[in-house]
Amino acid sequence: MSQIIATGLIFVLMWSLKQFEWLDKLGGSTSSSTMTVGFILLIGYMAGKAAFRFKLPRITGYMLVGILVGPYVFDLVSQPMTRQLDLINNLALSLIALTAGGELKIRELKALGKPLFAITLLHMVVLMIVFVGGIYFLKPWIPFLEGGDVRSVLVVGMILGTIAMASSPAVAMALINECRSHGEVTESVLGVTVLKDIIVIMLFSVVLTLGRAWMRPDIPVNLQFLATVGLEIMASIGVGVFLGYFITLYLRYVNAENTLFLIGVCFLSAETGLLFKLEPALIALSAGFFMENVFPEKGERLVHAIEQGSLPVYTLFFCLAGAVINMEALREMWLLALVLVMMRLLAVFVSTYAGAKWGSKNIFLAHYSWLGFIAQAGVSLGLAAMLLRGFPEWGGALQTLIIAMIAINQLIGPIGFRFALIRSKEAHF
Amino acid sequence: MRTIIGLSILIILGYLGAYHFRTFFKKSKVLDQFLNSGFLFILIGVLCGPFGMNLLSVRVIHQLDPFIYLGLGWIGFIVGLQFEMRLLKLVPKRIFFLAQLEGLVSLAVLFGGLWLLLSGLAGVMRSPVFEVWTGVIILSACGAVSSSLAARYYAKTLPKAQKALRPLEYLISLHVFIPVLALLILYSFFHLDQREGEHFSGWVWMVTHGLVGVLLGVMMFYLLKVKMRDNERLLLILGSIIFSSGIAGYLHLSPVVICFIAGIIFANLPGFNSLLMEAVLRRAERPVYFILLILAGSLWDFRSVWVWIFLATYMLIRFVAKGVAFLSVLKLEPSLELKPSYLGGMLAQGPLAIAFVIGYEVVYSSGFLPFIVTAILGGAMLNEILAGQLMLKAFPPQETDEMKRGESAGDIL
Repeated sequence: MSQIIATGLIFVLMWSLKQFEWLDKLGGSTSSSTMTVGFILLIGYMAGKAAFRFKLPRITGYMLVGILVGPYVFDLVSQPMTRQLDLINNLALSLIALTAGGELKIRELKALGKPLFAITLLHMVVLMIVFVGGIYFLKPWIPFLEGGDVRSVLVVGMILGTIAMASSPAVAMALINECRSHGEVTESVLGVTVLKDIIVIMLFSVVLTLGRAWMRPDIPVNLQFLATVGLEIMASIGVGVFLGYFITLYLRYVNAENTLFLIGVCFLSAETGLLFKLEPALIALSAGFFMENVFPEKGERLVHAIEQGSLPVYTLFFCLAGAVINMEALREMWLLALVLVMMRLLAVFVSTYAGAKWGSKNIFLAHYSWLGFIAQAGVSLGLAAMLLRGFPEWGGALQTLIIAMIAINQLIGPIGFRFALIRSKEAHF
Repeated sequence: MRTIIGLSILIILGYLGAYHFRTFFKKSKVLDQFLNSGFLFILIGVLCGPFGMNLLSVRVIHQLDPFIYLGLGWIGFIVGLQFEMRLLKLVPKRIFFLAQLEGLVSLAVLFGGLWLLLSGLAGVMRSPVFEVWTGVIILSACGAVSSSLAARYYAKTLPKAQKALRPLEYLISLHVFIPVLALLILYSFFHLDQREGEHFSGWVWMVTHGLVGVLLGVMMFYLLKVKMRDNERLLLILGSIIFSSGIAGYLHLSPVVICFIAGIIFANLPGFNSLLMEAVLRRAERPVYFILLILAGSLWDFRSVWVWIFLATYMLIRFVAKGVAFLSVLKLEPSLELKPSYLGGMLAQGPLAIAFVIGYEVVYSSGFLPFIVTAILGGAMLNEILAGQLMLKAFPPQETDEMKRGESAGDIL
């Protein structure tokens, strides 16, 4: 009860302070972002606790409260504030990715090789077919495809199919951490999610290049774009491996102020990503993967240490993820987005079920692991943001539709994965 | 290219700094204590900052504001936590008042000397009076603060000093009220809105400091009252301190003062468990403090020769101020069995002074900033070395003295 009163007090205090906005004009540092971080941590923690009481994942609580305090409801965390927190958000993402990489063990992945490969492959094929076919039939209800020819239907379907493939490693990692889960479903979901992340980025660049060539035959095909994307992925992995090696050297020879050192490493990965247009999450993921598999003893110790202090990181990251969920887009396209989400769910279920049945005898894998692939976030949003530049005529509208889909997936995904982990008996609360 | 070179240098320096330098410096007590205080991180900050390799550019530092405020609030909160009435009652009242006297005399002498110095400088730089006042107050407040770190370190590593330095540790731990009061006056009566056309009087801002501090202390108490795991407790402490400092920053008040008040309130509400708190705080203390030092170093503009001349003058004034204050205490209370040669223990400045100046830097813009920041950051480092030398002179080490490095909450702050 005392905590609820304190939370109410925090909420009222934050709301009252918004009335003093004239103070911002006085100069000095704009510390509203600091206040926001503190506010999010406190209120997010309470929301996570409440969600846990209702047998929901904590991150659902974080995201719901993020939506509530975000720019579209109470506006206590405004859009400029969320932009100011980009670097801190990237730091958090890098830490999460580092742990996710550390959770992927080659020997366990090898044992799961067959279902992993089958699920990934079937996701690619089935989602692409379902979305191209689905868009063809739904065309009359899609406003921005009005008057469009088969080519535009094909391009939109392929774009949606590619983005629908992506799942969120951050959500998977948060749930694995929260449920302290371990087992075949856990490993498969994380493994396939990470693998698909890399494939989706590459596939999206291919689809984008092909789509532009089909839609605008007058403009020559730019193959350099494809090469750049490939190079960026390779470079991200390379930088990640280097960072992983550097971390192990540090742990072996110095082994002091490790928390500070890790924050520094994540900062470097976030900043290097920004400077050289690499993928910060992929850098951190590769670093964690390298560390865990080349120097398992040190890697495991480090990952365990990060996990112990990860609560503030997850709270901040997912509250901000909730705050940036575009409710405007959801309101605008909710019906169409809902239909597409249902299509995606069906496709993910069928492909995961078939892949798991073919590659493994574990019935839990076939029945429940598909629920781990629902949540979407970072990569999908990043790819959607590229659409307006690629297809100025309808890219903006398609982007809004994708954002609306991601918003729904983001909210239902964690609930599904938690359910899957519990039902497959891999959660150890 | 610059970034890659910067990163490579940083990696090599990080390796050398953290390992080989440490091994090398361990041979000297003074240098070991210097490293133990974390000052190497200021130098790393200088190297990475906008005046170094620009890895921590102005944009990045701005985005890392929450870390700065966390560090400021954290230091204020921990210092406040030390004033638990239950423990304070064990300290003789006379020592408490002597500590305040020491703080007051230091502050007064510093204020006089620095007023003359900054007024002269303002004549050359044509700075407004507002900047002179704020500059003098912040420098005096920082100068009046002593850190018990050095005294504690030498008491720990030199058995002869252990008993002799205990009263000094008391004096240093208790005297912070006066510098904090000076800081409160600065942020209340020289609030930014006074410069821009007054909205509220200084008294309103002073009361606001108190109200916000008390409110946040009570709020923290209720949030942390229930049973929870250590990582949840850490999250709530971090969140509360960041929120409190953020509010302070938003209202252009002092995060250190507000969190100091919150810390005192929190420590004195029924059911406060200092052992439990210490265990949780210890987990995050070093990273939080060292990040603040790195960011402090990155904000340090030391390029002009004049700032170094200013630093030397400031150190001289501070030495005189601390000397006068210390001798006054000795004269008033000879029973403390302190000797004038122990003055070295009062000279170390430590984290609170650094928090004061960084807090000032993020709120006030002033032409004196490079002078003020150099005086405090440079002064803190040089004073640490000076304090060490004087301590070794007062208590010459024997060969059997063992080096012990503490890494607990109390050892840093």
